[in-house]
Amino acid sequence: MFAAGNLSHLNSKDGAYILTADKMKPGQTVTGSVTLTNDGDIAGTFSFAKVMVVGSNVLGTGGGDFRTRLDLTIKEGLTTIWTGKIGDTIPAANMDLGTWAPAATHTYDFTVTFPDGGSGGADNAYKKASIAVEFDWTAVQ
Amino acid sequence: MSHKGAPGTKVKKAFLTLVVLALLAVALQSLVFSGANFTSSSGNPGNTFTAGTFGHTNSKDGVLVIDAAGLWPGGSAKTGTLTITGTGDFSGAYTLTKAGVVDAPAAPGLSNALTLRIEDITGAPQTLSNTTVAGFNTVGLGAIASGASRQYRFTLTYPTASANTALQSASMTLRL
Repeated sequence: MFAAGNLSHLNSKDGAYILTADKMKPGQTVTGSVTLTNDGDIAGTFSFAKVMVVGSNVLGTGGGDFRTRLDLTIKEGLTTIWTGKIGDTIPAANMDLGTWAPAATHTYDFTVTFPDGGSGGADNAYKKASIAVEFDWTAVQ
Repeated sequence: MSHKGAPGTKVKKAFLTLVVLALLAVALQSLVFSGANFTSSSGNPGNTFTAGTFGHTNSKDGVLVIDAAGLWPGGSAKTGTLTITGTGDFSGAYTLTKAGVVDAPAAPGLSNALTLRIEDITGAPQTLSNTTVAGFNTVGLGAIASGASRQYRFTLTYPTASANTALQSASMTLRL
């Protein structure tokens, strides 16, 4: 008998956001986590992608652009997978999460910070600024 | 004697040749596309980040709070009020700061003689600052939530103890 293997994975928040924040103010940090599990019966090479949602980037009332303002950090435990501005391109090497055996589980912690630019209305340009990103996860055998 | 195959044999050979070529093509195609594999994907959309807004309104924005013409030592105090209302999404800690004062003449300076008292009169009056105009720099007005209002009273007096004949007809403009 010959039976094909099954490559699949579970995403603890599949179809939903990992983190989100409304009415952010300078200095505020939001966090969220997602856990991925290789629930297939063969190993898979996992990777992720950060996709800017088309049309989601709304400039602040003073022209501030969240793409170059919000800080995004992705960690697994104490290991930083990537950190940079939310609009930055993530190098392919950082998106490669390695090969996971069946039943392997990985949890990723996401942090987004709106840096405090200082006093005197330094961040006024970002009032009402908005942006949306999607995180996509892929496994190949 | 020439030997020629029967017409049916030729057709069979041609058919077999086509079959072999077809199988070869299928085999080659399999070789070309043999990289196909299993994949699995998931996504987390809707990670949205939106900044709030913050602001306030000033019931006397851009206009004077006190018009204190005709002051004299020991004379009646002059008062004015204004209301600050928080707008936007957050509460804020407000401060009132002296932006500048202009004395005419510059010396001895009416601002050194006049006393400015600033009170929060939203509820029971609470004195926030009480000093000469020249000595005033900044004062905390407390927290004001979005949609909330606080009323402040400004009282300008010319104390008898500050009388100075050199200040007759002097004027002063204070910008807060």
